[in-house]
Amino acid sequence: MTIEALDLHKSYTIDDRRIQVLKDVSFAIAPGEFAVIQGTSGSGKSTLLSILSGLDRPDSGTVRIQQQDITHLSEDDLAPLRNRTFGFIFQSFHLVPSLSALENVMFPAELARTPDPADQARYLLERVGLGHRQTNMPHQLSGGEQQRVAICRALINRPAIIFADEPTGNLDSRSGQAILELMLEFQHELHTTLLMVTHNPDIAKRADTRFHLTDGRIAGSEA
Amino acid sequence: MHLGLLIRMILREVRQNRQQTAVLFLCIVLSVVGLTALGGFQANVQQAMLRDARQLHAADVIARSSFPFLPAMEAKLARYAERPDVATARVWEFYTVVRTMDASASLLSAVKVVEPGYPFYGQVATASGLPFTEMLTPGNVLVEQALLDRLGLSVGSRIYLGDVAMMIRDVVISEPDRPVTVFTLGPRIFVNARDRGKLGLITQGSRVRYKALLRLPEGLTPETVQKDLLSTADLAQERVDTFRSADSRLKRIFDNLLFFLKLVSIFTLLLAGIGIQSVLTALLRTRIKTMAAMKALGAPNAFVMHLYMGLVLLLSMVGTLCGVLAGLALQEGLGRLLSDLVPVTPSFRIVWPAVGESLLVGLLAVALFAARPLLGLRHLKPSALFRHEEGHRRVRLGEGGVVLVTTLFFVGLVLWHLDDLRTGAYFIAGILGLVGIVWAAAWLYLKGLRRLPTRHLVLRQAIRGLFRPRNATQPILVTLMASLTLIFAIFLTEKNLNATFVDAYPEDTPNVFFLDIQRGQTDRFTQTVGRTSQFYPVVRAKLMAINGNAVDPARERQRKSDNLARPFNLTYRHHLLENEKIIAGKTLFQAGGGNFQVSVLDRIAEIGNIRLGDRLRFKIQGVPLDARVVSIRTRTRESMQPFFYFVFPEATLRQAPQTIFTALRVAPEAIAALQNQVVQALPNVTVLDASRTIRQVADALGRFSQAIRFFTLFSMAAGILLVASSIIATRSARIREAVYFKILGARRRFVLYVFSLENALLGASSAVGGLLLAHLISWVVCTRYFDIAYKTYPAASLSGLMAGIAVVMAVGLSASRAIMRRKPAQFLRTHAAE
Repeated sequence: MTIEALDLHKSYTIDDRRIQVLKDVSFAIAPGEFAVIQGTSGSGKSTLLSILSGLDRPDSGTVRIQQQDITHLSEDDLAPLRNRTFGFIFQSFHLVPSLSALENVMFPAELARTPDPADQARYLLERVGLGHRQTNMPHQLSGGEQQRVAICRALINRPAIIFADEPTGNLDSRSGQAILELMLEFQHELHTTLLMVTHNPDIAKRADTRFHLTDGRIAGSEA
Repeated sequence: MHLGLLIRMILREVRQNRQQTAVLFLCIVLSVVGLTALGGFQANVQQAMLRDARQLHAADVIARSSFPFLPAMEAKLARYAERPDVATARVWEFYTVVRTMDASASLLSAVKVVEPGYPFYGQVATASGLPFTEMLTPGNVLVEQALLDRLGLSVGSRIYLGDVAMMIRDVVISEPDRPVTVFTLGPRIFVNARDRGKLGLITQGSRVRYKALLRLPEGLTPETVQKDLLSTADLAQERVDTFRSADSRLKRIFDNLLFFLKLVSIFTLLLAGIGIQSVLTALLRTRIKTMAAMKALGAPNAFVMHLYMGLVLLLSMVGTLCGVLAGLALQEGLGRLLSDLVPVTPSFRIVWPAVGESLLVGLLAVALFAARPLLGLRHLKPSALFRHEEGHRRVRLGEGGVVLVTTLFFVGLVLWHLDDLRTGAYFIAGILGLVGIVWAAAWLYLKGLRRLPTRHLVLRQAIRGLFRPRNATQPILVTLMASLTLIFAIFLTEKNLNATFVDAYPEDTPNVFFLDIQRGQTDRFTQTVGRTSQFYPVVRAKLMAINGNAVDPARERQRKSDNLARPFNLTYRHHLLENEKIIAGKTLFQAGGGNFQVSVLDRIAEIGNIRLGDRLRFKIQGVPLDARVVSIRTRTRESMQPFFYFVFPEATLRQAPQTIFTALRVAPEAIAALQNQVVQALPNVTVLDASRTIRQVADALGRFSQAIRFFTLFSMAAGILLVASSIIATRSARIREAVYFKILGARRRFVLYVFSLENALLGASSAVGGLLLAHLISWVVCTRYFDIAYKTYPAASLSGLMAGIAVVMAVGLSASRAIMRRKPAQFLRTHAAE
């Protein structure tokens, strides 16, 4: 699925001070592409990812997913998009603490009323090497394990786009590498578009396209 | 000591945790409201009663009896009457039916025959404003307005009192020593003592209260005269009180009600205490990282302890103060609610000892319930900074001690407020039992729920929500269930009592009672009413001793139930009534057992611990009668059918002074006419419309239970506060859940369903558990204590259930509104570093 950003602007007000986070951001990502957004802390990377994935709204500008403008969709209209079209992976994993690993993975499939969500969730957990940790609660898993559960959860509805915000940021380099390989493996297998925010130059090197964000503007892109 | 820093940080903690400190504050307020209101109200009533004691009894010393005074007492009274400095006046009180001159209407009335001089203190206020003694001359009566209204008469009309026509001279507005009772059988009529003889209403066996009032001169204390009169009194039937020691029956009922309300308030204090502990624990858990960071930066243990102890101290001082103020406002409202049930009109006054007691109790309760979470801070290590979840801690020795002291505090509080150790023990056992059962039920329910396999996504998420870390699910369930049990149980018991005695007055049950029929009047009575009825001979007597142990009137009067020192109505017959059966002994009387046998009803047998073979001594107008208990009867169903505690063989009582009693079922519209006929033919007969009396009792009962339910609502409020506090304590976890659900594609509706269902589960399980327990308690009370059939009232039960669920859901949802509104991106931004 194509992702298009057109003239995106976003600002926040903190303590009566208006901070311009994104300024005139425009770019496009082709279907099946692996793209990364790079930039220093506070450059607006995560905000951009939030807006592209419909978690936040721009002050102005448009986000189009496969030609459809999502910036004016209501929360309820965005819900099926988040559930079936998008997958999310976060730096802090964001697993539901009251659900086991298996239940966390099943959850989006259950919302989508997919038949046999448990079988699919078990399959994915087996694939990421967590078949024996299905009943564990999030706090009983290591960071690497939690992120693998999060990847399974992002993939269970076979999304067209995966948004990943510093997915290896909280992991040691070895675990981080393993997570990246896993994500790329699934991306190739499912022909998914992968848009990732990262600081890590080694990960960026492997992307098809790299966008550099400086002070809220796209300072450059390279393929 | 960094006092300035501490104060600054305490205030910052309050500001940062506004919602939790608000709930904590409300719990503290709630803990003292009830006790303050009741303490002040009771003290005001007691003070007013003491202030008005002379007026309330119209004399310095009052001798009274249900029979004519015995010669020894008469002699003593006569000696006092001869003294020029002592004034005496006799009073006779009884019920009789008065009728209009054209016999078109009649009315049961409370007659008070008084000698000149009455009342010695206070005054009988008349509508004309003229002095009572001037108006109450022979041949005239003074009546209450209600009598005029109900008979359609006015001042100047004449009425028949017995066979004598009397003129209504004035209307009585108030009388100083009117016994305020929960219900009255009829309006008051004052009669001059000089008319007493010609009325012919005080005959053998009549139910008359005989009183002698004495006004004493300065220097002669009421206690001296009381002691002197008591020295010759027959304590089994004669009583002597001073205005200070006299105690009305209503005051005892009132004291019992206040005592029960205090117990409910102590229960609320306990629930509010659980709330305080739960909110504080939740608050401190959210501050673990902050405290660990402070310790990591070198803050000593004492600093952290002082910070939160200071916070609790500040809130408890402000909270108890506000609670006391709210209690004082409630004290005023309580006076209005119970105004016509209280024997005096208390003026509103702040009772400082009661306020002091409430403040002390409130502060102590807060200290005890806050101690456990605060003590837990001692063991907090800076390494908590690096831990994500806190595991379960074992209860340490110091904390176990706090639990023990808290328990002792409550036991002490109950004992402090009661005048009867046995009732206190029952209450403590009842509360412990209730909380224990509720706690066990909640534990089992939650355990089962946790394991419940469910495929339904919303239900599963809602159930998972109940086990969210920091959710005070079990304390909430216990608090709500216990308070709902109490509210439902009172409601169901009252409804069953009303159903049995008021709403559906059984069709086959007599509704008009005829008292004081003389032995030779039975044929005339049958002729007058035009049908036969069962006549029950009634012999008035006092129970003197059981197995040689004298019945102690003073001790008996302290009983909250029926007492053995009152006059009893004995009867004689050789058969069981249709609703009676023998539960001990083979037959009603033993063949060949002689005449000195008695059959006892189980209710009085329980009160007096009377068993088969026991020897009872009665006194019938001064004549002793000894009898052996040969059977114990019970009533198979409670109803308005006549019953007697003591039944004798006919030969034993045939010659004793007696009256006849009978009861009939009469169509309500025909009661007035029948009453007229009977009273015209037999003026000495008292006619009592039982269904009307029962309605008055039900009305009073309704007001009592209204007061109890009102106070029980405070317990419910404590439970509701717990729900709110639990939601606040888990706010961040709930926001996280809501945001994750949304990120993963859930609609807002889904989140709403999950949170609503979670609250519905809490409300439903509390209400269902509370309702089931309430049914069990009410069933036991109705079938075992009141001996009435039990109805379950499915529609009312369901309404109560739905109301319980609705309240919990409404509170839960209003507390969750802000949580559901949170936008995912906003949350992710602020929690990115977690």
